[in-house]
Amino acid sequence: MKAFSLLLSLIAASAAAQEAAISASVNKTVVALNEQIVLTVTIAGNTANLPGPQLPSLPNFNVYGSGTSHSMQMINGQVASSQIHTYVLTPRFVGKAVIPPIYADINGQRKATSPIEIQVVRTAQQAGSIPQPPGQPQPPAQPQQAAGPAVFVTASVDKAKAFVNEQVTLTVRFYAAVPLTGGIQYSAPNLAGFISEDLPPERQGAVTMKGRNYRYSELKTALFPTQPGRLTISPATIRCNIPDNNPNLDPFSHDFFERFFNQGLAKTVEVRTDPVTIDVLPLPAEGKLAGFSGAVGRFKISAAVDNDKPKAGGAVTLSLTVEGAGDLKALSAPAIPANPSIRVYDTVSSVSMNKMHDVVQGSKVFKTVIVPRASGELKIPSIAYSYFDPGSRSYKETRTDPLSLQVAPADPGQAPVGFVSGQAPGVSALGEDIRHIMLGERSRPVSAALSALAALGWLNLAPLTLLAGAVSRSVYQERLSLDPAGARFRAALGAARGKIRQAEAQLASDSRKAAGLLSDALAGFLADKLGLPAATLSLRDAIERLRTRGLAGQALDELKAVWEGLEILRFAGAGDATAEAAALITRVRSLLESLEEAIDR
Amino acid sequence: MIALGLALLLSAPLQASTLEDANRQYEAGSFSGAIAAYQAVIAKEPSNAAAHFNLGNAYYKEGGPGSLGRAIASYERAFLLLPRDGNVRYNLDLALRKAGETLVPEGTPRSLHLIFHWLSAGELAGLHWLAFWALCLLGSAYAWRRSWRERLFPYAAAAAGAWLFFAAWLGMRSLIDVKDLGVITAANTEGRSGPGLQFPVGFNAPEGRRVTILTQRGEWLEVGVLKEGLRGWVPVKSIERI
Repeated sequence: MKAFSLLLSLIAASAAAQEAAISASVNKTVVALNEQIVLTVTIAGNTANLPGPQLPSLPNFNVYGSGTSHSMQMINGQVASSQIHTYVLTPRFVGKAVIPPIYADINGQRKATSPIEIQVVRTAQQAGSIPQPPGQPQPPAQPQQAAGPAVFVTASVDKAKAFVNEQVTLTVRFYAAVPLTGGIQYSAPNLAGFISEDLPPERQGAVTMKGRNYRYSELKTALFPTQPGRLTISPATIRCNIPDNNPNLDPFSHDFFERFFNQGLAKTVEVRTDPVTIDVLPLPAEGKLAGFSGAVGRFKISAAVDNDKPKAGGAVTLSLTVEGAGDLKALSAPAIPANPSIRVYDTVSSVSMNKMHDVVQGSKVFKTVIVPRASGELKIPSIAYSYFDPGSRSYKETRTDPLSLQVAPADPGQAPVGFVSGQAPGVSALGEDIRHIMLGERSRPVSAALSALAALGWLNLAPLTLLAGAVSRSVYQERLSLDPAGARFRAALGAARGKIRQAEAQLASDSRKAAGLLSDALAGFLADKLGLPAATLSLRDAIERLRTRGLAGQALDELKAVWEGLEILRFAGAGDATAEAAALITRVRSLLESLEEAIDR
Repeated sequence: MIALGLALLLSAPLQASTLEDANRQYEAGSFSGAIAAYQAVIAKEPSNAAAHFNLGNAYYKEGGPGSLGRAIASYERAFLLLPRDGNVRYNLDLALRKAGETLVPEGTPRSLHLIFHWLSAGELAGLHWLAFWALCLLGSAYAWRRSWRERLFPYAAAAAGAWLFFAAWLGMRSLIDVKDLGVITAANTEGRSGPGLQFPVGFNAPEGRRVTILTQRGEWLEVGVLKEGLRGWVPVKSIERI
């Protein structure tokens, strides 16, 4: 509840003066015999305790006191107070009457008002037609009957439609055409759905309307709607006392004397404003910028640090200032881009507001303490702040300039901010970047060799042939071991040839030995082919068996001849038998080959 | 075995000086110059994994259009040569994540991926053939002489087991690893339903995405986007083959 009543009383009096002064004024200087005039005595000084006026004798008037009002202001430690004493005077005689000077002792000084001449006429018509003497303020021309009310109050807004959070200015204006007596009670309207901000100072002025001269006092309030829809500002109410021109004093009324002597010539009136409706529009969804946090108005943002050459682990205050017009108190802190190179602490804010030209404007500063984790260049990128401009009905963005800090290494042994003493400091990732280049190619001979081997491709299948050959041989030998007779049969010629070669080798040195080897070759061949022991094989047995196998007689004859020839050469021969042995070698070789073909298993 | 020995003898000594020059340029922040220098090293030594890796770093740091795709392509080549190197895996994964992919497919344990790709394709194939050679030689000796069999059996069995193991691993790698791999190097590459601008666009693919190259027709390649499984035709110049 504002001290509206005290300040509104200034309508009926001059402004409080810093210096001690007393003044007197009347609402009119020409009055009819059946009318009254209001005498207002104002005492002003720089002390809280002002004396009352010393009213002189007024034999030409009946005097009735109607009230006193006080006001006091403290400006720069100086007190400025005033008292307004109101008296209602009714003339007793027609003619010229003088209100003598009224005295007051203020701060030890005797102050006096100027005398006031009053012309009392017989009728009200005469009061209206008689010109005022020069030097006297001309009373305002009043109609026979006033058209407008004595007091009324209005409420209006500067715009009927507004966006959420857009400033709407509410103006409550109280008009009074009569002096007010006594205190004034002001009941502010209900501002549900709005955030309000006073817009001082109160303004006063004078205006003529509805056929009457009014003094007015105006109070403005900035409203910021918090929700869309149709919002209604309820009526404001003012309750005040105004002079009662037709008191209708009933001497038999129970409060006759009270009204007659005290407040009997004033009446209490209550005036109220009409409700005011505002259509609040929601902020458009189209075009909403990323990071928009609800700011409505016109803003710009700037950034600054208190130290652009800090040390690692040292605190730096980052100040983000948002200035402009709008509901500054509701602005939220701009988002600082995530940066693993810094540790960010809580943000505190402060508002500096002015309300020039009835617009809430100023700046809001967001201070955040950041701590660089490592030395080097620290870049704080441009920080964006988006807002809705109701003037252009669009979303806009303002940005700070990027900042660059040169962070010096921390002093050795200095515990970085935020570490709790006694605890081992941990290691936390500072950022993500590629790892550094390799300074040289490491020697990888094994890898290179393997890659070269792989590069041979299908040539690597070459050892497969070796494996295949070894396996084949193994299989062959396995088969041989499982059939010894068959192995002997198949190996007969090969074994015999071996012996023949041995015989050839012995031929030059010992023909008889050569003959013996030939004989072994032949007998061994036949034994292998026939499956008989070589040591006990005779010629007759061999021939018999070969005949049963179907060998032809010619082969058998040759066999007999060679066998016997070898026998003779071995046991009966004398002298050099090399030629015979050589011939026998040939015959044995030929015989064996023919027998190889003829003999089947 | 002769081939293996020759390969060991012929392992070429490294020409470190050119790589060092390129590294100096990189560390001085001259990434464009470093790129050219690394490319010169690679032209001489196509199997120089460090050069491919460092080239990827230079592209990554250079930034700009196409650099991410080329960085990923270089990292992929380094990965083919050094799949178990932690730095190669890390940088490739980091770059792929910028393109919306990951090195390790979703749902696959990282350790399993690391083990499966521990050996490069060349190393795995080489080990497979080495085991094959050992199997053939030991098997031949085993078959040749019965008296050696008892002593040779454990070795021959081990060689057979090793060959089967590497053959299976090589077979799985052949099935799983993407053949004809390429990387998109142009931002917002449009995949069309046919090889020409007159065909409608089926998808947009960001720079850095890996694709498998299916076929080529003139200046167009039919590719398959690995992660999303989409297929379409893109301009040849928007793809860098691995």
